[in-house]
Amino acid sequence: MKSGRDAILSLNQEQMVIAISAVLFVLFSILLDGFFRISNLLSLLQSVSILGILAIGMAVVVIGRGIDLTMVAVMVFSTGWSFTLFAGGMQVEVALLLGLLLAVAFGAINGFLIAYVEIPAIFATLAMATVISGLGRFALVSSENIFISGDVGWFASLGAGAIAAVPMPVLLFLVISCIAFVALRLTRYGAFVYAIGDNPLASRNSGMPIRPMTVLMYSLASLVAFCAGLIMAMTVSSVNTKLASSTMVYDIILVVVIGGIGLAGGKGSIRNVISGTVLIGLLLNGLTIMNVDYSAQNIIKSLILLLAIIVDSLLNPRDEQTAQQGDI
Amino acid sequence: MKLSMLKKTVGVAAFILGVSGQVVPAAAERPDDGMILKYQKTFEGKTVAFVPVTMGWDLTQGWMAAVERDAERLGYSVTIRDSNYSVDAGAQAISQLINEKPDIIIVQNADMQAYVKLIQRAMGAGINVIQMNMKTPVNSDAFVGGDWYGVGVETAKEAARLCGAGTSGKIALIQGPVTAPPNQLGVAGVNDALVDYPDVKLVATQAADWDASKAHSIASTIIKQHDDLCGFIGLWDNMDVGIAAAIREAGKQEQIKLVSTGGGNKDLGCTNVESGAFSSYVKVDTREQAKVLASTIQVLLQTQPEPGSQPFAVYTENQILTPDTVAPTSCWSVDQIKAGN
Repeated sequence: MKSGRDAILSLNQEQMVIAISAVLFVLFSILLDGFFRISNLLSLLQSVSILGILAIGMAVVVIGRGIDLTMVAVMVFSTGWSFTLFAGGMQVEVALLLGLLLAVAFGAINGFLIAYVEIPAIFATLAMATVISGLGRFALVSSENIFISGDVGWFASLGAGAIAAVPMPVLLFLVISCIAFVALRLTRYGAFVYAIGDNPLASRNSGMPIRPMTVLMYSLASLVAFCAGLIMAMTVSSVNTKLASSTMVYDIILVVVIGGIGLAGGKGSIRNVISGTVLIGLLLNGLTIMNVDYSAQNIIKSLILLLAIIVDSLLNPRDEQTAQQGDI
Repeated sequence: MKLSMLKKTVGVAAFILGVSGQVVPAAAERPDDGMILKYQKTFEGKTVAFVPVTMGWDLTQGWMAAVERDAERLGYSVTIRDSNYSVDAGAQAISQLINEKPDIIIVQNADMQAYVKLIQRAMGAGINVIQMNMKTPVNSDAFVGGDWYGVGVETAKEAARLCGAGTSGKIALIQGPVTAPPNQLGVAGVNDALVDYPDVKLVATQAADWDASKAHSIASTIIKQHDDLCGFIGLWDNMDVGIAAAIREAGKQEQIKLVSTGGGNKDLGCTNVESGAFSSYVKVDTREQAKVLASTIQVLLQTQPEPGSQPFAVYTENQILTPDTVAPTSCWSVDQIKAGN
């Protein structure tokens, strides 16, 4: 009964996002010269694919009733470290492998703090984000912006290549979406994630390994963050570690939430992430084409997002049944 | 005869030791030209403090590389209080330093107003103040840095040169955070300079917050939107590599010119000029600023003027590098500055 109700609720929000996106899409296509062109639509998708990939990692954690505020810090400092090592003469594969291991280690530490030390996810990852940034600045990278000047071999195609005119980052976003979809929907571990997110105590009582699962979830989120960082680095041949202190992590949460994945956990799917990502992409692209002033852009963006949230809360009023601890 | 030979030997030894960073032995009596002995003594026990916006930039690292080199050679000490982008932390650091009374405080202003009162207070407390790269309306003992407005003017002139007759004349401007003063001044320079070129049309102005990835997204959208775009102006090389990537992706390296600007870091500046990714590059040379800063410190420590009594400035020259004019020595790396090159 309850899960049926939840399914309807989350569907409503998703439908709404799709409806807003559709309205924007039609409006932009009619009003904006050059919007409705394959090349522009691909560049629209490309501009949000990194955000989308990060949102997939975040979605897995959020569905499991957690949140990962370290994703951006992990992303920039693990890849930043890799390319610092590479600049120091290390082979690119080895450098990237080390960066990947570091990212997963950060994720595992997050998971450990949350699952075994039992610190609430929001505080554990908030603190860890600062730790990672501090450690990164101190020991991993020497400068804020790491420019990649050497030849990185085929890795370069991860950011700059295209298959059948579809930019590589977009393809990778789709591939990672598919993997996450399959893992969440078709595997036992995916079912565990939903169960843990829906009711951790009940899952524990029914014998699910919720602690190791939590460590796994956060490690995966960090792994995804590393991949996103690698693609981003390959696209612009540099790593901007200053992003760690930007508001990017909130953008990721926004994509997840606006797509309809409740912060209370246990519901939502990868489809929600994709629709949330597309909405943000539409906004960014349309506003850039209109050459809207930066501050005005921020106002428009936040108003549309606010509108989406207001309509959502009208459609899905909060009540004692849906409101849970951890709801923001 | 013998004595003078001995003196000479000791003098030469002292000179060698002095050059290699050693303090001259007390017993040595090197020939005094009227200044050298005083000069060598002046710096002992002096302290210089630096409050940067962040030490994460090659810019600030380059400055300090030269200053620390000098400090070691001459015997003064340097402390760095990194404000890490926080004006509050910077203000805190300056207040703290005023209590500690170093001989010189170097302030890299985050904007034009934030530290005005503190700079005045520091001077009131008898501390000489050097402002770096961004000046407040208050004159302190010295200002060393670039002329951001002038940088904007130069980039616009370069863009106008590259997008003159025979092109569409359409250019787009990618700026940093709209509220950052160097950015505001640069944008003002671009806009003012473009008034002289009625054929050049600024078709898009967008902010990418100094982030290469954001610049990349915006630039690719603009490229798709304006098929006949002739050029981009970017206001910082760290960000502009994203624009370059977008142009490369669109396969329009021939058509779309990119005018960038920056401190002349080898990896970011010259590499991209040599490869043609930057068609023109307005260099605000960090290496030169670093040397001027080190010299300014020497001057102030020797003359010890009444704080604020004789303000002076050294605005560094904006040099333009193009694929044709770039030379192997046009750019620098922090390691090279550390090594004195």
